[in-house]
Amino acid sequence: MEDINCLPTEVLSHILGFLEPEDWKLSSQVCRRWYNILQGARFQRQILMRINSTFVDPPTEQEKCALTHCRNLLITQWDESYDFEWYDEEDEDEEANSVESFRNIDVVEFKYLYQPSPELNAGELLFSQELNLESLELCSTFAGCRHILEDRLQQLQNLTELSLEIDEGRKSNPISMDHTFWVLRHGRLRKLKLSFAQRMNNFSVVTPALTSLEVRPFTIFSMPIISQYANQLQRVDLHLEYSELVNDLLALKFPSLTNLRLRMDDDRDLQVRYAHLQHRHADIYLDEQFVKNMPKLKRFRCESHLLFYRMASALARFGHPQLEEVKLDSMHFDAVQLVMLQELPRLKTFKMHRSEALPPPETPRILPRLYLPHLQELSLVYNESHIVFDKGLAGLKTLKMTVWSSRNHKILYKICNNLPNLEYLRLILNTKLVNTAFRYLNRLTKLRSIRVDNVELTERLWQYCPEMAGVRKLVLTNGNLTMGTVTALARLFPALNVLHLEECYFQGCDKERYESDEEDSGSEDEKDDDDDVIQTQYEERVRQYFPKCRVSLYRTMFLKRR
Amino acid sequence: MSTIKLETSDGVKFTVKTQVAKCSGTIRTMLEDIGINPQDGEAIPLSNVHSTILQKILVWAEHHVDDPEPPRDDADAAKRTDDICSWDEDFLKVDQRTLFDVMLAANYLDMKQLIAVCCKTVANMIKGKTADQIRKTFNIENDFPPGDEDKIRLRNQFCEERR
Repeated sequence: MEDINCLPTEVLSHILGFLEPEDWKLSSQVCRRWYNILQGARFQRQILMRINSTFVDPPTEQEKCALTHCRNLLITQWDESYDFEWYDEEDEDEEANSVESFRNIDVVEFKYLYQPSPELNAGELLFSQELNLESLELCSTFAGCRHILEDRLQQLQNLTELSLEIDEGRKSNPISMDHTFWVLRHGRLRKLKLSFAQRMNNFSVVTPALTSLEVRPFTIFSMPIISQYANQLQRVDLHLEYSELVNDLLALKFPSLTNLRLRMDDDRDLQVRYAHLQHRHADIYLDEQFVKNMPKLKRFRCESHLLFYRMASALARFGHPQLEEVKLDSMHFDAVQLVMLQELPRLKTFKMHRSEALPPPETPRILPRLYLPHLQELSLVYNESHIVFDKGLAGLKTLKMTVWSSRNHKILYKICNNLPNLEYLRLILNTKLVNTAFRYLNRLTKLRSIRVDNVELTERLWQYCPEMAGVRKLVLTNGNLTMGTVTALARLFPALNVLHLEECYFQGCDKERYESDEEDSGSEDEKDDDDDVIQTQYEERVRQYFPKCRVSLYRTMFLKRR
Repeated sequence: MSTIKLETSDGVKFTVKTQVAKCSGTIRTMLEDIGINPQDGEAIPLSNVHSTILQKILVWAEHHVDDPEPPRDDADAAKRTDDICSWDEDFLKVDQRTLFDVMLAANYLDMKQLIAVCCKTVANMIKGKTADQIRKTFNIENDFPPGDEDKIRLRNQFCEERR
């Protein structure tokens, strides 16, 4: 076998997969075979082509050339009015004369709705040649993309993803003043993301293959689009702007839906007021029907107080049979609602981030308990409240949590005693671990992988830690360590297969070297070299402690004692 | 401890611990699914592997025989190439020809861990090099028609990683 090109394509592709996209560019220029491999879907899915332009001038040959074989394209058409207040005559002169004016174009001539139309040039770029686009993202003004979308989008026959971000910058509101119809039509489009800064009246979508829809903000005009495709949508992500739309949304049926994400900003007060309403019977019926009418729902993510308040009780009453994952973000709610999750028979994953579960006012100091024996993954990150880790969570395999209590040894005691099936434990420390925190770690006999973020792991902590012969992977990030810690780790985790240290600092690393190399002349010039030598020496020493283990040290520094 | 026999393309027979041989997915399948009985004393033919290469691969398998199954890789670890353990690093300090032969054999024998570590080693040889340097390193011929390379270079200026 003579050279690398005798390797089968799958192996060559495996090699190139370990490179960064930056290297893919150069590697694709090596020879035809490499170029063809890198043109494959595996690589092209991860590559985006970005063209930033005002499109005042026709596209350059370079830009046109760039588009051949491109699969994923992002076109950002930026609006000069962000930089020039060109509609304000007084400012204009000042701006044009100032040194900061960054572009030598005639501002007065540049008008969106008249010639030369920027859309013409963007359109020429997109449609002057055969394109093979699979995904297209357009960030533009309304005028800049309207006719492209209306007339020409269908020419992109392989397109399956479209993201439209329409923003008119600081101009007045031309979209709502437009009374003609605007139709987005495409036969194969599956994924559509719409982000409009203004109301889009008379806008409609004809995309029979659509299965995934993201709309932000979700306003009254989006309602017909959503109801039109409700039957076939599998993934829906909505950012609601007006609470008035909640009932309209909950009246819809989504029989195919598997993933749902709902957001509404600053609706805490709204939810509190809603909770005090007297006549909610109609709503309760509505909520329940909504939940029942999405029998395939697997993942639900909620960032709205009001919607969680309504949906949690509906989901609980219905006991949704398919729901596997619930994620709550940036919310404050009564612990009662949290406990409602117990009614979901197939819940496997629960994530609660930056949130707070408020205990009932009569028992403010009692933490909520959850009885979720089927739950496999729990993630509690940067929350303002805790839950009790008791036997009701005994099925957990994966636990990720922020530790901020100074009584963390008690929490860890509970985890070690009550979660016998735990395989992966990740602790994000916001406090220092008590020396006895790991004392009962060996009760987690199935534990395979540990990760500790923001570590401040002293040697004394390890004095109380039992040997963990089952653990295969250990990751420590962002902390101060000593070589003593490494020795302790090697002793306590003899079967380690992967050790990864990221952004860790080892202090006082020159001590031994200083004693042994005392006679070396410590001239100033060699100081930088010294640092490198220490770094290499100590990296080697860490690896020596773990001879059978893959050791990776990422941004980890071995510092001299100053 | 049970052993089995393997026969290479040049007719050399190796007696190997079954456990070590099972590092190879191909051999494991033969033993477990097809039901070849190693006690028969008949050697399993490995017609694509030369004895010098098999010997090398067996040394690797012997050393890694107790490794656990690789953990389901988290996305951030998937692309790392700086986590080759020092034993493997020394093991793979061989000429390119041997390295590629080991890779071919490992591919045939379906030894995922060995392929991965070899691929990382080669990836490290590619990283940070220009197209010309890569061609020199691996002795690859530039087979683009004149002008095509420039076109690709122009096009690549607009490429970036997808978020």
